[in-house]
Amino acid sequence: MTDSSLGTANEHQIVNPYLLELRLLTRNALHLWGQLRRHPTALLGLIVIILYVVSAIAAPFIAPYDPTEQNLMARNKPPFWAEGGSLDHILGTDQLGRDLLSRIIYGGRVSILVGLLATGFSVLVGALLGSLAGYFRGRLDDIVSRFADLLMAFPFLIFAIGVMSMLGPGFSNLIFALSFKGWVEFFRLVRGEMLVEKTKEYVEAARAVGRSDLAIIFSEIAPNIFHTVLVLATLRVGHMIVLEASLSFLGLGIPPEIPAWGSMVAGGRVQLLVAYWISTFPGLALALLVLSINLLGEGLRDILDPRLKLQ
Amino acid sequence: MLEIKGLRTVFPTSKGEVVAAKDVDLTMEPGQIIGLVGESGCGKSVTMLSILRLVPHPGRIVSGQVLFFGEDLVKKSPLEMRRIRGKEIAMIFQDPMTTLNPVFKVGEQIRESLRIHGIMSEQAGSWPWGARYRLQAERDKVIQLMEEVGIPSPQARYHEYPHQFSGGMQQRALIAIALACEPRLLLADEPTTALDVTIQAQILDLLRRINETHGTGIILVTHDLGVAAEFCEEIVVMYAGQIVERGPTDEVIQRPLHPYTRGLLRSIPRITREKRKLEPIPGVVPDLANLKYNCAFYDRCDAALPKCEHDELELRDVGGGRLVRCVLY
Repeated sequence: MTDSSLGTANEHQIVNPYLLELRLLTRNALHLWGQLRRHPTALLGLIVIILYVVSAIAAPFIAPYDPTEQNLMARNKPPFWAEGGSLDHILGTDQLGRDLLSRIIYGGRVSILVGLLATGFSVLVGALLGSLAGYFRGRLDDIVSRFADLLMAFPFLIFAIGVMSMLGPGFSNLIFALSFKGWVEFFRLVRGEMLVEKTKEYVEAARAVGRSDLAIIFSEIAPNIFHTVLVLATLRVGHMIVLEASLSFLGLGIPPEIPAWGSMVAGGRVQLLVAYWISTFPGLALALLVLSINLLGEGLRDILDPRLKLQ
Repeated sequence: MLEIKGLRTVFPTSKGEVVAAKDVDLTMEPGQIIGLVGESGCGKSVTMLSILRLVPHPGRIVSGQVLFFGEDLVKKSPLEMRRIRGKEIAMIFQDPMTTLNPVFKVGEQIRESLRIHGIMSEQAGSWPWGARYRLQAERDKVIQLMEEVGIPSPQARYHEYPHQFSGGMQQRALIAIALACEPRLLLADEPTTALDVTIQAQILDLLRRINETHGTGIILVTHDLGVAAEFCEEIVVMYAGQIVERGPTDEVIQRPLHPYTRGLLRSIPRITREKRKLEPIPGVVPDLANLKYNCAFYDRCDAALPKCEHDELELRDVGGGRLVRCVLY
């Protein structure tokens, strides 16, 4: 081998392959970040999401009060800028005298966790079944597709209400109910992409050099459809968060002793005319998070979709 | 090396069964270059894919043998077939732009083909201690392959993606992938069709050099009789799924026997000859699901005789290494 004076030559020194993989991964992430930086709305969304996540993780340190601590002497206190409000309770208190800001901070934990876990399971199940069904077709595809069609016939919220009223409220039940229907969209997306990709010549070429079917699915095709799944997953996180809030609002989601935005909105709706803040601020927190997630999702689509990039 | 006997590959369609390769017989010695010529849909590619058992669903091989060094590939298990693909028999495809996986670096894709068949693992030792040495050995080999197929500054181009390569360079990279395991047979399915004429010549030169240095047998599938005449020792002409003529290149070009081959030669321009009109072959390729006559070329043939309609036809040896499927001989 001749020595090259090019800048990449040092990569041909003996390097640890695992380190190399890591370096490739970071380089790809950095590349994505470089494009994201130039996309103002996506960047804004990302920043807000990061703030939410940080505050959810650091909730015990930044929340001024214990979110479940009741103080009946200070019920229905308005936020500090309104008449009768004080800086003791920046966003006021609810009907049991619990500090609203603290509850919103803690409520973020539930929303983010449910959103991520429910979407995560959906992606896992949907993408796996979708790749296998789309690549191999046959009996597996028939069965799974019909089952997916069946699930598609139900509106998501109605379905989740049904499952939750059977299982009862609870964190893991909620994740199960949301993932049980959530995988269908990923299944259909990945299956469709698979049907397109598997006819491409690079797949035939991979077969002609003796790669196995599973290797073709997971190491040749999967990287080609990863970006579409990423975009849908990002948007779905927001959707799942709204569903969790809706179920909690109906008393079917998270048990009432755990602060969650949906149940907070529900709890305040009786007092909406006298103490609007009890329902309004958790609702705003929810809306802002979902908006940010959608902005990020749209931004990722702009960046990752090669069809849009050409224009 | 390769002996195909009575290969028949069919595709069931709503109009009936289409016989895409009909009783194909072919023999090939190690290091030989054979050109498989014919128009689109005549069964050239299907024959190639049948050799590798990669005929797309719902097509299937219904009868015949593909003997590769005496072993029948039609009878191999899927796993055994996978060990042969890429290692013993490699294939390069028509459109290099879509044949490389767009998300991986070109160098890594070449390296992958080494890994599939464990080419470097013996020298370098096993996981995990040998891993870093193996990576190094594999990379060196990839660079060497890229140099061999004429990719300039391979050190830098190793890290580029397919879209950063020109069409000719992509085809070179694909040839490097095909060469990685030093196969004994290379199936080139219209490797130059998507490229400029100047690049075409370079790629053909490269293939010829590979044939000379490695002794790799090559089957070149092309619809361009000119390319085949330039490049191959032997020409096989296919029409409607059948081999209609086979023989040494010079003979076939100088003295075509089958009316179809004659028609093909009259329909391509030559710069060396005096002015003459190009004559297209009248009519269209028959519907393979509905062949009316025993000779598929009967209704387009300018030398057709009444007996052509029904007479039994076989690929007949007419001497001088030439075979032809026509009642005239």
